Parts: sequence; C-alpha cells; structure tokens
Amino acid sequence: MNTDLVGQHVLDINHLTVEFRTVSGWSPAVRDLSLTIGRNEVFGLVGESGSGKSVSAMSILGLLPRRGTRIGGGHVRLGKTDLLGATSKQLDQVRGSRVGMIFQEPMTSLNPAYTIGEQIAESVRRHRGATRRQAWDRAVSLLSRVGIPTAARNAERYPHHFSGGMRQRAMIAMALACEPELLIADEPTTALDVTVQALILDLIAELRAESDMSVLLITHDLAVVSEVADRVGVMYAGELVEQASTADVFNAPQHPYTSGLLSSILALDSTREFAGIPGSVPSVDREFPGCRFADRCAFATDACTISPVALRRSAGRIHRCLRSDELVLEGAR
Amino acid sequence: MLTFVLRRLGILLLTLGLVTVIGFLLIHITPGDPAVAAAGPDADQATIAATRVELGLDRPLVVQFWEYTTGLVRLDFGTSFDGGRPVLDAITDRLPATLSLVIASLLVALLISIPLGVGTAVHRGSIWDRIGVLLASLGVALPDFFVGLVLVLVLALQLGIFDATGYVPLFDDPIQWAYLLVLPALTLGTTVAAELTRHIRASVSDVLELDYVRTARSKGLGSTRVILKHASRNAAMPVVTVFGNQIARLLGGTVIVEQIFSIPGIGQLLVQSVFTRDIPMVLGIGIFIAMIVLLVNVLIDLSYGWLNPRVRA
Ligand SMILES: Nc1ncnc2c1ncn2[C@@H]1O[C@H](COP(=O)(O)OP(=O)(O)O)[C@@H](O)[C@H]1O
Ligand code: SF4
Ligand SMILES: [Mg+2]
Repeated sequence: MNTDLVGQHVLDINHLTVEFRTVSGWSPAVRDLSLTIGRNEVFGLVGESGSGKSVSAMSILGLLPRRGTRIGGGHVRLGKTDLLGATSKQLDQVRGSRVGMIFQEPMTSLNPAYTIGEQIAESVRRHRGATRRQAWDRAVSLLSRVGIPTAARNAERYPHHFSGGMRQRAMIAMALACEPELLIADEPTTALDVTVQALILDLIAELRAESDMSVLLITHDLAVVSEVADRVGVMYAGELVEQASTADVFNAPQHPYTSGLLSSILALDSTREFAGIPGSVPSVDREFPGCRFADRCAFATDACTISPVALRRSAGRIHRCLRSDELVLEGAR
Repeated sequence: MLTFVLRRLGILLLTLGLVTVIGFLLIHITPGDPAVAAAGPDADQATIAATRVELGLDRPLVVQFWEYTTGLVRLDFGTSFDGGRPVLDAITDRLPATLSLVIASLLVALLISIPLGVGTAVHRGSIWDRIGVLLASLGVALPDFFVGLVLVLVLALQLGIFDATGYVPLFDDPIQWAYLLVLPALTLGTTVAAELTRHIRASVSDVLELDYVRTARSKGLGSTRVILKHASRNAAMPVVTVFGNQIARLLGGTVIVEQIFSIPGIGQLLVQSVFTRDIPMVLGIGIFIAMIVLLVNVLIDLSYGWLNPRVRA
C-alpha cells in the first residue's frame, strides 16, 4: 500500500448532525459525527442496521431526500471543497467525478432501461466531456478491469442479464469511471453470496492499491472491514462510539458495543446476527439522559445514565465509554 | 421480438373478429325495421318489401354475416342504406375532421398533464403539489366535458374569443383550422388531462424513490437529466397503459363533442346513421373505430418493449 501518501485528509467530517422530521419534531439520526479519511486510506464504518451509517454517507453527497431532512450542524469537506454549503450544481461536479458511490442493492441500483455500458459511459461523458465513442471505450475497459468477461459484448447488455456479483462489479466500474478521490461503498457485499463477497472485497482492495483513491467502506459486518480497512469507526444510535486502527479495534476494543459486535462475528452459528448484544438500536426520536447504549450494556452503572457521555481520546484512540479504563473487554484475536 | 409482434397481431385479428360478431348481432337483434327507414317515410308495404329484398335483409342472418365478413377482409365495409354510398368512402371523407379533433385533444391533454404531473411529483408535499392534486382530482371527479364546457362558457360566451363553431380543413385554411379546434380540443382534452396527471404524478414520484434514480444522482447527472433520462422512461410504462385507455375514451367523446361544435366528423356521421337505421354505416363505423383502438393498443404494447428491455426477452 502507498503508505507514503497516507496522512493527507481527503474527507473531513466535522461535528456533523443530520436530522429527520418525526412525529416528535426534528430528531437526529446522526449526532455530532467527526471523522477524517486520509489519502489512499480505507476507513471502515460499522454498526448495526439503523445506527446512521447510510445517512452519514448520503449526506456527504447531499443525496438525502430534501423534504423532511436537514443538516443540524457541522461541516463536510472534500479536500478544500465544502460539501454541505455547496449548491446542487457544485455538488453535481463532485458526484461521480471526485466521489464515486456504490450501494447495497446491485439489483435495483442499476436502471433496467439502459445498457450497462451506457450507464457507465454517461458519467464519463458528463464529467470528462468525452465523445460517445471515447466514453463507450472507457466503459468497456473499466468493465474488463473489474473482472467482467468479454466486456465489449457485456457492455451492450442490460442489468437483468447480469448476476448479482456482476452487477456489483458494474456498479464499481461506474463509481470508478472518473477516477474519484474517494469511493463510498455502502454495504457493497451485504446482498451477495459469501463467496462473491470475498471477490468483491478483493477487487476493492486491489483497486485501492493501484491508485491513490480513498475508500469509505460501510458495513454492519465487522468481518468485512477486518479484511480491508486501515481504520475503523463504530457507530451506535447515530453516534461514533469508538474509532481506532483495525488491529486495535479487533484486539482490544474499548467500548462494550464494539466488543459485543466482535463476539457476534465469532458466534459459532455464524448467522452474522448480533447474538452478542441483547435488544436493538433505538429509533431516532428516542432520548436518553446518559450513555445511549446503557440499556443494552452489560457493564452499565448508575453513573452511566446521568449525563451524555462525551468522546474521550487517548493514545490515538477514541471512544465514548465512561468505564473503558476499568473494563477489560473481549476482542476477536 | 418478431414472435412478440406476431403474437400481438394474432390477438388483434381475433379481437377484431369478435367485435364484428358482437356488433353484427347487436344491431340486427335490436327492434325496429331498417327496411322501413331505408324505404322512406311515405313508402307503402310493397315498397318496403321491395327495399328489404334489394338490401338483402330478407336472407338468413348467417348468410348476411358471411357476406359481410368476407367483404371486410377485402376492406369492403358494404354500402350505405342511405344513397348506396360505400361505407368506407363516407368514413374516410370524415376522418380528417375527427383525426384533427383527436390529435388536438391529445396535445391539450399532454401539454397539461406532463408538466403538471412531473412538477407535482418532483415537488411533492409542496403547496404547488397540493394545488395540482386538487385540480386533477376535480377534473376526474366532475363529469366528462364539464371543465371543457365551463371553459367554453367563459372563453366563448363571456369573453367572446373562440366563439365560432364548425370545422375548416387544414389545407383550406390552417389558421382557421387551428382556431376552430381550440374549444373542442379543450373540452375533450381536459378530462383526459386530469386522469393522466394523476397517473403521471403517481408514477413519477414512485420512480423518483427508486435506487437507480439515487444512483443516477450520485453520478452527478443533474436533476433535469435524472428526471428526463432515468426516471421518465420507467415512469412512462404505467402511464402509457392509461394513455391507451384514454384514447378509446377520447374517440368515444368525439361523438358528443362533434355534435356540440358541429364538426363534420365520424362521430357526427354515427349519430346520423343511428337515427336513419343505416345498419352498414353504424356497423362499419363501430368496426373502424375498434380497429383504431386495437391498433393503438398494439403500438402501446410495442412501446413497452422499447421502454423496458426485459419485455423483449
Ligand atoms: N428518510 C428518512 N426519514 C426518516 N428517518 C430516516 C430516513 N432515513 C433513515 N432514517 C432513520 O435513520 C436511522 C439511521 O438509518 P441508516 O443510516 O439507514 O442506518 P444504517 O446504519 O443501517 O445505514 C434509522 O433509524 C432510520 O430509520
Ligand atoms: S458508558 Fe456505561 S453504559 Fe455506556 S458503554 Fe460504557 S459502561 Fe456501558
Ligand atoms: Mg445502511
């Protein structure tokens, strides 16, 4: 990996709060989220379904529905570009060009009415001002790069001719069409078979290695980030609860929630359900006086429920647990 | 694709045959003697009997039906009882007027419903959306032609613009042609526009929620391109179906609107022929219109193949 390039921030999310309109008013689905991603770094964002990962990702590119959504505060910068303050025209110059995005459902994320090649080529035409011919040729070579066999022929086919794995490869080709600085991959393997999952992850790792692209890899599955991420952020109920290098998170988690996630990937039945943590993620309009994880935490004390727990930093690690110093939490290695 | 087209055409012919049988039986079974009408008001019994033989109405129904259908295959719709004119001639004579009315009405319907439907879908929940939805619901709930007739009242009777009725062929005087078509087209078109608006809004707002629209946005294509290229083609599918049904409704509507605005079209001819009990003419018009409706439906089926590649497989 091009470690010499690591260090410069490509993405800088600072105190981001995103709110949805609910019956009880504006409720934050993402609370005071801060994280940075360095050049050529793979940052894994994990947490159970409903913890606010997708909302965070979508707000980077302004893809959340305009009605019923608002930014409660903070900023998001891509290099020197302020994304939250950008007009939709400015955002359109970033989307697909400097930031590529792939989604969970390769089945529904491609338009059934257009060929695979066209859906890649249109991005090249839009951002590179390429001719139809040039854009098409680029689409074919991208498809071939992501491992689609007989790419020239397959480019002319429609999404329904492709298998799930091939569609996701096509999505990756589409996201990479204009050599973005940042690839956002929101649950890129969740909808795929286990064997295909590994191939797609390998592909993302390879593509990162051969360019200086950074990756925000979002997943509810810690096993996925363990293979490719350099650093990991753990989200719970809209908040970042822990952030550290992948090795640190796996060897010595500092938050009971992280430890619970780790124990569940080790569970023998391996259904990847969060067997390790009882209960479920609270809805966005639930308010808690203290630690938001307290009602599910095996280590909770009275002190935990008095006032909100702030992020704490020590030795390059960040966590949001009052008792982390005294607890010895179970890791995965 | 070829088998798809052939299958469609097969179904078309079958339906047409069915329409012919039903139409033929219906008209011959209804009471009233066409020979009486054809012979004229002062005819005596002998004249009526002679007319009956002359028109072939004395022969068994099966024979009449056989002659009629074999004629149809040769595009011979028979001759009118009233003057012995070929039915097809009479229809094609009046076709331009009806076609003008239908096309102008469709234009009105599309010019209203597409901007209104797409606009309300894109700005869903806004005040404009609510106004648009209210207007469309009103248009659907009120009886056919009501909105159009109110417009006529205001434009023609109150404001005194567009106050003439009648029809001038396009090639005689294009300006007068268009001018005279405005009111009838509004009358016929607004009803269809209301129905279409509702469907376009529903369909577009459904499609805008879909994952691939989000993908298109994530590529930075810009909202116009996202809507026109990525959303519209898939949103069009259900709308096109409704559009097909609305064309049938529109053709039915011409009967009334041509009466109101004295347009010498096929609808008017139909009304006259019913009053004179001109069986070949009524039947001919019925089958002709059924043919057009079926043809439109075939075109619409074919458009699905273009709109959605999955249908082609
Ligand atoms: N458009 C929306 N309106 C209201 N609530 C939403 C919307 N999108 C997401 N949410 C809520 O925000 C929370 C976080 O969702 P999300 O970011 O999708 O979670 P995940 O971590 O699984 O990606 C969930 O509780 C979800 O119900
Ligand atoms: S602060 Fe208390 S309740 Fe929250 S995670 Fe730590 S121990 Fe558990
Ligand atoms: Mg998600």
